[in-house]
Amino acid sequence: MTFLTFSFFLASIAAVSVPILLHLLMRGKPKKILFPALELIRKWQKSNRRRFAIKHFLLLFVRCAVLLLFGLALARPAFRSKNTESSAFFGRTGSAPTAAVLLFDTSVRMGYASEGQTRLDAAKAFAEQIVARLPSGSQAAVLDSRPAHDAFQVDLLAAAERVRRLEISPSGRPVADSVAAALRLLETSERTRRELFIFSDITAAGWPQSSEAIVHRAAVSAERARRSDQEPIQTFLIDLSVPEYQNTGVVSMEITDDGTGSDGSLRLDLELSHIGSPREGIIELFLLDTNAAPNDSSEAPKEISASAKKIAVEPFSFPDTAGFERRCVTMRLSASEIGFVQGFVRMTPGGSLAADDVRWFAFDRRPKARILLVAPEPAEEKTLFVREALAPEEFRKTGRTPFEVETLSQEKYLTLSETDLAAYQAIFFLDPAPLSESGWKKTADFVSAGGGAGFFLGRAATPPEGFENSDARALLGGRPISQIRSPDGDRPLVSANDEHSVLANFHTWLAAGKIPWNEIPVFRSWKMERLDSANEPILQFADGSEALYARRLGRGVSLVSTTPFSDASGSGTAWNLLPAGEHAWVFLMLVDGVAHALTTGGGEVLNYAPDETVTLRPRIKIFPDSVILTLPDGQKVPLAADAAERTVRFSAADKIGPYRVESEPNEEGESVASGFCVNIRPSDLELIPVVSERLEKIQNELSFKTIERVEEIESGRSAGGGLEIFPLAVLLCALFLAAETVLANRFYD
Amino acid sequence: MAVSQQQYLKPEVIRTIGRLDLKAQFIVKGFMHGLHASPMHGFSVEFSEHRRYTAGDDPNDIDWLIYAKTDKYYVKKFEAETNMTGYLVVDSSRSMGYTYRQELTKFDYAVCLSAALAYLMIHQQDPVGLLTFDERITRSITPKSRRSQLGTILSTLANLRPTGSTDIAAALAQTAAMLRRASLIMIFSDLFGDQEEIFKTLHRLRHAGHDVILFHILDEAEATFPFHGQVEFEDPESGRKICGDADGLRKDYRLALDEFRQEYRHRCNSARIDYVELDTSIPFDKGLLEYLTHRR
Repeated sequence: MTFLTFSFFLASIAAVSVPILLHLLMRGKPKKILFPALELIRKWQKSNRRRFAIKHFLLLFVRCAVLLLFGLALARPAFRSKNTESSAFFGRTGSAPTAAVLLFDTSVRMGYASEGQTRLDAAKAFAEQIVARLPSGSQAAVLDSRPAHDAFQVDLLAAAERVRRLEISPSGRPVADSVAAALRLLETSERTRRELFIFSDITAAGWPQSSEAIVHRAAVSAERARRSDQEPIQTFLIDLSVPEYQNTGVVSMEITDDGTGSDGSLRLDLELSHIGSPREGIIELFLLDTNAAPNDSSEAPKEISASAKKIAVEPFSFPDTAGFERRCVTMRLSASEIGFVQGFVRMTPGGSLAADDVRWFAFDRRPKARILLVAPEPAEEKTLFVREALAPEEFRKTGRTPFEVETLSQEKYLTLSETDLAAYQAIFFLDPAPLSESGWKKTADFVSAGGGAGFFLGRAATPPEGFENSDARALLGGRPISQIRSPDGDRPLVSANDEHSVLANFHTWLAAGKIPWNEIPVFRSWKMERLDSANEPILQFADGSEALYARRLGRGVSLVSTTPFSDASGSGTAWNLLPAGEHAWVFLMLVDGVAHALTTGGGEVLNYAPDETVTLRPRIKIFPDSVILTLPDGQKVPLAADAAERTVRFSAADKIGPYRVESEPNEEGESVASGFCVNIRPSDLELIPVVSERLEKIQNELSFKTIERVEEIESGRSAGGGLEIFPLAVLLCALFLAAETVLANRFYD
Repeated sequence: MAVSQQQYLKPEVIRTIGRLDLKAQFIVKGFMHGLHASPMHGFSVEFSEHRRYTAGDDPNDIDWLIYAKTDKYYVKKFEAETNMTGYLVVDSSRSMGYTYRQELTKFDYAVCLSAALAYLMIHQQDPVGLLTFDERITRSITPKSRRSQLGTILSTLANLRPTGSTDIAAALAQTAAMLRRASLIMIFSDLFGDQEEIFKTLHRLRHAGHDVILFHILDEAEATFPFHGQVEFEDPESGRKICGDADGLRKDYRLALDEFRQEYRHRCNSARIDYVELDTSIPFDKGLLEYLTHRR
């Protein structure tokens, strides 16, 4: 048996002591009365005494029972019975207060419209019926895909209101990931009946393969229920899937400045997805007027056409397809739009899923960065890998490289003037020997003025004392003191900061844990003597020693790698197999990341998925303390800028659309005018149902019942799923009260 | 006036009169007024002949029908039918001095009633005597019909106090032994004693030729048992105590009392003894009427 408010029952137990105490205390001395006719009552004395005791005990019992039943009724007891018939004897089964968690999939897929109603609207209507049918005294929690503090609502009205206010959330986790949290919340409830309602379109994206957390939590819940003699949690899956999806949308877009356009245009690669009946339409490319104030563009992109300029139109057509069909469409943005641009592509007419009709983009097109590769002689040989990684020879011939790369020996570098250096955005020192004092100073001045310098230390970095110069220390943040050798290459690299811009290219692989660091051996590296804590670790070795780190110097940035990027594997004494191993693609992406970080003052990504941390590095001489962030809905938010790191970070970009970052003009008349865009993750747009095997597996894990109508809940409940005995307690209380009155009147007439 | 005279039949009114002779007088007059009859005529004295009126005769005795015929005054001559000797036998034990919430104790009630009967009998020229008893006869006044006899009896009764324990059977046996002539014996008692022994002596009295009227006097509380809650009852004579729930005992007590009275009623009826149930809340006329009915 469980109680809604157990304290009332405890209070009634305490209250029972009152009549018992009164019974004992009021037993005082009898009244003394002279009575001559004693003979007439003498023979009744024994029976009278016995009846007196019985009747007082009976009255005491009735009075105690009244108090106990009153407290019991207030405590709202409910008990479980596995016997349906016995439950039915007391009243309607399932009348016990229930703890219900309503878990909604609020992913963008739930915005799929069918028969004039989105899946979320259908879920809300269903949920409102469930809440309305919950017995009095029940508690309900409404959870959605967003990670939040999971708690029961104050009352059922609040729960119903919360259901009504649910919205599609472009960010958030798959609904399956919230199941464990929902089960955990239900475990905290002491209600007799505990039920989990999952509202889902049962798509593969909502129910990913990894579900160990669910299995574990379901097992824990069942075990706890068994130990505490509670009913196991019952799970209902409300199937909101559509038998046959009909939709066409833009699921992803990639924008590149590949230099292949004759006019130097940007290339937009769109991926279209289609299912269902034949469809024809157009894709329109719009550019936003970055000088105009943004409107609520994420909600109604069609209405911003007035402030947007249509650049291109591309038709598309899909035949009738039973499964999903994907197609790539390429569009171009002409060279006249060089600089920071924001825009979107829109599919017309829109599909059943509104979320994939529009895709946003932001791009900051700058002139090709010039990078100087510096190495001891033979410089051409030592810079080969990095040069080919940054500007492959094939691309150099056609002018399609994103960087202009030049090679110079270390001796010649020392002869360059500061004016010569100013023509470059970044310098890569590949396996450098210690520079001269003037060389260190020249390089430090270059970085302080906003340039980028990368030091990839190797066998030439001797003697270490050559790095003791103050400028060297400012650039390197320390000095090499000794070499660490690991002939077996058992000190693999690991990420020290997934969010660092150098690793921006690795995001997808890092999240999936698919970077094969273990298969890229590093045999030797320098141990650095740390000077200060300003170093930003990017990669480190498995033993914790630094592998790649960045540090700020003035307006520029320097990167230090404690192992070289230029060792050939054939030599037999290579320090690592980064450039030439089986997984050279990691090297290519790493070099690309380093080059972007050094040439853009730390690297800049302008297109994000919801809830990713946005890091902008506006190029401005005097960095402001704060900027104004304009959200897609036009709301302006002041944002603190990190002048020391020359970055602006924002971690709550959960709205889809264009964001603008601006600042007041500084003393030199410069101002920040940048921005970024947030788009739905392509995986969140996939309307692919869970395969039947996977669904069976989930069903086994959760033991849920799939229902389509609210009436099926009652029949889906296991027998004796909780019975409230409040009415019975009240009835008994009333009967005992009446009995007390009758007995008291009868006894004390 | 009539109403006020009948007020004297109520024990609570009689209590307010101090003198016992007045109490008796008021009771009898109130009773007779209710019957619309003279207390001096019509019952124990009957008409025998006419004689010439002489000074000193009661003008009320003048026969006006004869006067109309003869124009002379004749008065009716009455004579007693019989002379019935009566004994008032009053229980003066301690239990008779009990009352719970009435104005008169059982003993007071018995004294008032017996005084009224004495008054009535003397005025009917019947000789009346008095016996009082507890465990034995304590006082005895020989029956006489003189008017001074009333004063003697009332004086004795007025000075009597209920004391000691009781033995009704022994007292009645003693009474039976004392009386030689057949008499009317009026017993006033609560009859709390050995029932069989009491009946034996009552039968003995009957066998001796006495007429017996048994006035069974109880206190109103003894008749109704008005007690509540836990009570410790104590017998005033023996000092014995019984503790019990009065509410629970009431029904049983009343049943027992009914059986007790029924037994007396039945056996008295068999023995041709008049059994009169009284309690101290009942007006005195019931007792007087019983006597007069018997006297006829």
